[in-house]
Amino acid sequence: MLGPINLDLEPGTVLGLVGPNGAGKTTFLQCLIGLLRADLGEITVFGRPNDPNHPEWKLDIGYVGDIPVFWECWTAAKNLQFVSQFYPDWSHKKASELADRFQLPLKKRAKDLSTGNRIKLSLIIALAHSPKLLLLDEPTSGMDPVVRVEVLDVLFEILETGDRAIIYTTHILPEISRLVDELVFLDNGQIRLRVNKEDLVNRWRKITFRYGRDVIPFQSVVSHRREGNDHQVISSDFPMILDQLRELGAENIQDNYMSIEEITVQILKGGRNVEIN
Amino acid sequence: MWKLIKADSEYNVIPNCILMSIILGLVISNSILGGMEETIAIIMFIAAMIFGGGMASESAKNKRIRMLSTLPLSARELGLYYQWGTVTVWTLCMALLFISSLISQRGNLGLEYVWWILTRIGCLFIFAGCMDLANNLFFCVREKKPDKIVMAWIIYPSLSIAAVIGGLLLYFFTISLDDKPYWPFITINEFVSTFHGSFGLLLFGLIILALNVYVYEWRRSYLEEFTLPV
Amino acid sequence: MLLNLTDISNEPLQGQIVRQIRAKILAGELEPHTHLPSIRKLASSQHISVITVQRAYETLEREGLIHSRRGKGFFVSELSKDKRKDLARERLRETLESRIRAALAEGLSIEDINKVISNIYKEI
Repeated sequence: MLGPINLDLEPGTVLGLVGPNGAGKTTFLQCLIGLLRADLGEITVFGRPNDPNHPEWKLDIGYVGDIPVFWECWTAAKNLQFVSQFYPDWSHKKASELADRFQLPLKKRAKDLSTGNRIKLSLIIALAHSPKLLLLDEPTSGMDPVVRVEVLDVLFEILETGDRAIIYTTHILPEISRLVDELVFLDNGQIRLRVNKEDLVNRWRKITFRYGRDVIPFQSVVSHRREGNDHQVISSDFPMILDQLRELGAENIQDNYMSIEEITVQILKGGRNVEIN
Repeated sequence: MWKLIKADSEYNVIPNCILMSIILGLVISNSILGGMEETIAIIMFIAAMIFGGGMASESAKNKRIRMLSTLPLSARELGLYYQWGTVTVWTLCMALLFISSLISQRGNLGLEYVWWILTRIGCLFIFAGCMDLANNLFFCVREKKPDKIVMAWIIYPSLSIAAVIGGLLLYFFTISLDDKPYWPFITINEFVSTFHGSFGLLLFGLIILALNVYVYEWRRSYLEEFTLPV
Repeated sequence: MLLNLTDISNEPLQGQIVRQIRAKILAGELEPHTHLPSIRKLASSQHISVITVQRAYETLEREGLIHSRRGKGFFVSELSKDKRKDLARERLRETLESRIRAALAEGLSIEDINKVISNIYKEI
């Protein structure tokens, strides 16, 4: 069960879709590309409704799904050639460049490709016609670190023009943390939180301090550890907590930034109990 | 759609060649020996029923739906593409059979024979159409549990079983036997041996196939997983 | 423009960008009226998100170190000597304040701290 979901995406943005397994990330992307039909609501892509009988809107989209499927007995090259027929903006030059950069063996048959290579083929299919919107569902799974970096390189290059948008799902958070502009947390089919990455990074901190008396329960504190008079809290609203601590007269207040991964884990762990400010 | 069909024929070139050689073999022997029409037709019909459903190229085609549905192709095109093989291959087989009979009878063919051919085409269309319809309807249900259970355990199996039994029965009844034992058999047999009967059967078959194209557009899911919702 | 950005530092990327560009400007490496790379260009070349660079540039603009010209991008601002000194003073104070607090908390007196500072001068 997915939704209701309301999402607007501006060109030039990268949206990271995060959430536990089964949250609906894959289902969401499948709805966007038309693999699944939504029961209610509308999806418009670049102003065009996603009507299965007028599929021109798909020309602007590149999709990498969780399970890549091809003409298995054909080579990777032949698969690319087949797909190229459907996209007037397809560039064979670009496709072969990408195959080089991603180290994809074009002469191998699709069924003989490893999982990582299959995803690479999916990626090339998605990228070679320079689509304005990329829907990427765990696009680097099964890839070694060298190729993974190459994929991110390509994505950064694509973003340079400023008119592309990417929706990116992944479990590998460090990879997404540099790329994304916004993060959307999906849980149980609902959007729990949509936040600008910089806001997230600025507002979450790990704070340690010394305070003798019983601590008043803070708002926006996600976790609290105490050993004697030493406290450690994780907060999603650092400015406010800092004020409160100063007011209380807490001593030796030290704060540390948290990585996107750490923050994400806290948000997802907290589930419905996390105070999101 | 034509790009898909072309790709398909390229992809399945070897199995298609083998299939075609067998069919040509059967058909040529009929044109020489004559009188084997019924036997050949039965063989081809049963083979189509078994292999059409279980053929590797068909199930692979089904799996590719996930890829094809992400391409800028309209649902209608895809729906037609999926029915295309059934229609053309079977019609071709029947046409070859017809020609072989023409040859073996040196042009002396009664009109009943034309109706006979039409009924066989119709029978297979009805059978294949119902199987595909069951499949398509299965993917049209909402995510709601009761809908899925009804579809998977009641409607899909019923339609499939009905298709198989119905197809066979229908075919059986259209075989003309000199010894016509009892009433329904006679009537059906007589009915389909006429122009109206055979054309009706063919039309019915075509309607079911067209229905498939229409229903294809209404599928809620173009993921090929066909799992019973337990 | 080459920046040295790292994921391992505790300082988030936005802060690193601001700090490094500020340092270059104050040190004179980036002269007034130099055209800075566009937000997108910098984001792409450093492999970071646009929003990070955007916020960094906004911060620098707020501090008066850079300014934007409509349609043309961002440029290094002309800084008067006084302004430079003010900023440098501000930076020093920011870095030292927490360190001095900590030193005091660790038991050093104000004279101890001053002694350490004079030693540093002698060595430099």
